[in-house]
Amino acid sequence: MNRRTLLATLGVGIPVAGALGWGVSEWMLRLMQSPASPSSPMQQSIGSPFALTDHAGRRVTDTSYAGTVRLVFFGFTHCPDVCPTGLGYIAEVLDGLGDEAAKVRPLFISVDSSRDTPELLASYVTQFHPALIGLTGSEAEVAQAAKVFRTYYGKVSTGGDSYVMEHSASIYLLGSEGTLRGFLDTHEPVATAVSKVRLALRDTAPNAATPAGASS
Amino acid sequence: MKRRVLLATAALTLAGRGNAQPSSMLVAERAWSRPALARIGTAVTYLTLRNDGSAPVRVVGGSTDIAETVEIHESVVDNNVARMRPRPEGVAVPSGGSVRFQPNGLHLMLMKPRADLRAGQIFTITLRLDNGATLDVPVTVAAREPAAGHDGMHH
Ligand SMILES: [Cu+2]
Repeated sequence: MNRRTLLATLGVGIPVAGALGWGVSEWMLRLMQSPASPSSPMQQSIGSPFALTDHAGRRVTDTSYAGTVRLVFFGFTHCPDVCPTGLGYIAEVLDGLGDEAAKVRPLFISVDSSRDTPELLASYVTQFHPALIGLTGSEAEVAQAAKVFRTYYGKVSTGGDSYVMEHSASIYLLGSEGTLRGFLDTHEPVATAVSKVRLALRDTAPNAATPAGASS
Repeated sequence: MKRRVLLATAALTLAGRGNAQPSSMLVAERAWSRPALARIGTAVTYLTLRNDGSAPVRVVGGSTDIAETVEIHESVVDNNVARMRPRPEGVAVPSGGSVRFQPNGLHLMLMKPRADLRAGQIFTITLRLDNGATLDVPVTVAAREPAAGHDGMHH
């Protein structure tokens, strides 16, 4: 029980540390001897409540995706490198899941509410995968979403009117109950991420009455 | 597969401007760009630069017909926060060594593309070197990084 609590704390430690600065994160990284394996569900409820607009212009909340396994990635469309890398990775994971991809909701939450309109997000996310869902909102709505995912973002001027956003590079994996099950890491082979998502799908399947691991 | 590797490994020799410098030979491999929307205003190119010459070479900038400017940038994921910083000093490629521009790291940033970049398209980036020479690099637009050529990796 203690171990589980510790894992849950550490699992969200990385994004939180981004907001708090070096001292805290070094402390957390020292505690975190090895990342929690995907088979050790962190069980921490995360990512609720939020209210945003999806790329089709529909108002949505966290409950719109309740009951599904979710991949959640924060970024912005004007991000040329890290966001396309993350989204490209998610697209490969979805392809790797085959038919099971239909059970997963991949959410890209923009931290750039002033530039990322639903319409722009629509043309952006669909470049990567037709199943990707872009979410945006007012500054307050985006701040709320970031808060419930305990993630950091900030605006950095690059001269004149132009700016970039700095943001967490984490890809959250949420179980169907809305619990944090870990993170996907773009440095890992796609097959590793596919396994993590499959575990989440299996463990949280509606009629998963059999013990985990019994059927594979 | 073999054909693909061959295509992806378009090796280029250094085209000297004025004085040819046969001793320095820079090779660009596996240059690719992600599809991008012109209205968003940025695009990215990755490649591997190999220096077969006997002198170090520094890439200090570039240009292309398809975008307003080409800048050398580096993404750094620091403390799990992704940031990007310009590299106005460029990137040195040591003699006999190579440098990889890759996702979440060094990249060429294309500012204000004049049109959308679509998968399958090929365009040219002209890299500017500190010795005054330039290097034309054909770049393929692709959703994913092209498969590694056997001679594309140098560790
Ligand atoms: Cu950049």
